Amino acid sequence: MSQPSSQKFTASEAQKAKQYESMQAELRKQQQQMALFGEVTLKIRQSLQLEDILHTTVTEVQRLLQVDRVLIYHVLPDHTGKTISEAVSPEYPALMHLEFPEEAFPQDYQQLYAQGRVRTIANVRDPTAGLATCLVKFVEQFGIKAKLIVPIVQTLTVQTHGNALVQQHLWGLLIAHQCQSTRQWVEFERELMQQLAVHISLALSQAQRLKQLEAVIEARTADLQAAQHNLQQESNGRMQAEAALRQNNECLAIISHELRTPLTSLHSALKILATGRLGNLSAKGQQMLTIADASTERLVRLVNNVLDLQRIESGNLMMQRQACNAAYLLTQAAEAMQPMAMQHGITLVTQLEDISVWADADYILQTLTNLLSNAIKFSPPYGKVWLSVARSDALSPYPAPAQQNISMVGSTESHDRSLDETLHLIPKPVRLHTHAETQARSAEFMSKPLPTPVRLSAHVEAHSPLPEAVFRIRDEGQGIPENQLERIFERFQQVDASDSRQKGGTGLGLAICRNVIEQHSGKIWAESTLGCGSTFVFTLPMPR
Amino acid sequence: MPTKRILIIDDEETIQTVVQFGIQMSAGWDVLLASSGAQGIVIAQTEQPDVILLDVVMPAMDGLATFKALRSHLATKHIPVIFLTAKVQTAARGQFDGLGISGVITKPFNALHLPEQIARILHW
Repeated sequence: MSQPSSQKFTASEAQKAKQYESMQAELRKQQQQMALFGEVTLKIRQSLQLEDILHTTVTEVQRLLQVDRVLIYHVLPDHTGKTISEAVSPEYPALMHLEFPEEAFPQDYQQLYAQGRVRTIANVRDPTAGLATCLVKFVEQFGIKAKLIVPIVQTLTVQTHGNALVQQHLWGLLIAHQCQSTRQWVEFERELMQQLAVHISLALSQAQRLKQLEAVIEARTADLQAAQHNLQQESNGRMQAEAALRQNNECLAIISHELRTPLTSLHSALKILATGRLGNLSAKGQQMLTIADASTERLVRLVNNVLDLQRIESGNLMMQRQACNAAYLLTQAAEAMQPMAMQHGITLVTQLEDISVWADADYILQTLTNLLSNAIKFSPPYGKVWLSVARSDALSPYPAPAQQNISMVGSTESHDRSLDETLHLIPKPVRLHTHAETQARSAEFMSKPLPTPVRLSAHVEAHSPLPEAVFRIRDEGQGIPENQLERIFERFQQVDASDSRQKGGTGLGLAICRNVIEQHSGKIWAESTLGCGSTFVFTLPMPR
Repeated sequence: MPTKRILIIDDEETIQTVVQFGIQMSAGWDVLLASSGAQGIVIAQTEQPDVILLDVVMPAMDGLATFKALRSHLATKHIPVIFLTAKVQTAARGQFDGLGISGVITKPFNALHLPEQIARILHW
């Protein structure tokens, strides 16, 4: 616009320009307000905390509309209500937390608001405003001269009889008060308030959803924490139990270990006394000495067994496995137990097969002597104890004339038992021989490779995928009740504890045997017929 | 078998006594007694026993340290040493392999059987 032409403005033009300017000013103001409004909605969206949202809203609306008071009134389920957020100029009273009686805001009004009614009152005293006199008095208490009320409505989906009903629920009101003067509310202000109310409503449902979500998360978290806690406790309990067991075992080991030194002295001293070379004892004295000596020996065995078991169970001990000749192991065990057998008048009968096993020879020897010692102890006088080893796949579909490398000498066993008869008690009691014979043969076992493996008609595990060596120790004792056949491999679980103690047992022997065999990936079990005897069987893998 | 001279080094007096009694009674060998590694080394140097029975677990100077000291002295390095230990399994499992000890006898032992065990270990 050029300067000279402006001088030619007419009066009407000047008026137009004035109008134009005021319009521009109004637009600028509205633009400003829109910008502020944008800020408010952004703030509302950014916050998920309901209190923050409401506080931001009232503060910003008060600033935006330049009003004396802005409040958010929350309608409670009992149709009373209260101000839950407020921004008010300092010269006017606060309505915050003031509870309004139902009369101040009757239910039919609430219905109208729920349907979206907006009230703009420029002057509360104006009769056309439709405010009852009592209500005018009520609002004037708080200095209210003009007010603008928009509803905050939530759309709720209610499930009734399987149908989803959409309901408009009046959550509350967004109210602006002018106290300084009456106020003619403009359309823009009304719209702005309405839009804000919509945003508040959205924020409300978001906040509620968040709250629900939080509640769900909290519940889940609590569940998880409880589960974790339980798990922790369970695991703690188990760990404690394991630690206790470990401590217990270690303690046992230490005690056993510490016992060894005094036991050595006790044991030796008694043996020295028993020689009689330090002076002769009376018959009663000798009896006492015998008791002391036998008890000491038992104690020594017990201490050794406890230590053995602890070591094997703790896994501190590695079995040193190598290929060993099973026949040789059996022979060694029989030799070691021969003095005890003779003492009890028992004949040891071995039936050997040249099988190689993958084992720690020392431990298998210990297992064999342990089982032999039991068999001897529980045999009737002048009975027999049979030891045998055979391949698990030795059962031949045809009665092979086995290339037996051992012959029976001095045995009364029949040679002619049918195949069936031999299946259960012992692996093929043909061609048995006495221990003396075994001894004579054992050198042979050790020194040179034996001829083709003997085929024995034993039934055992003929179908197992990998052939194993099956060791059997059979006695003619009183037998073991069926319900005890498994239990006897537990610690201190003798069939008859008093009987066992009399026989010098520790109650740990079979537990040790089981541990040893299981460490070898073998199996051990007992078979028994009451009154006829028992057979202890264990398997060992063969070298590949 | 000619008379042997055995030195036992063990802090337990009762062990010393039963070992002495047992060996003398069953084999008639001479037994020298020492209650500690240090004392044992001195006796070994002056008395030149045929074998030393050495307890592994002892206060102050234990069996292993004593053994090493014996090996480092010219006067004692040739004397065979047999460990006495309560740790039966570790002994049997070659825990002391490579040390140069002659053998291990595990507790509890019968002192009357010691001469026999010693003779077997040392091929006497």
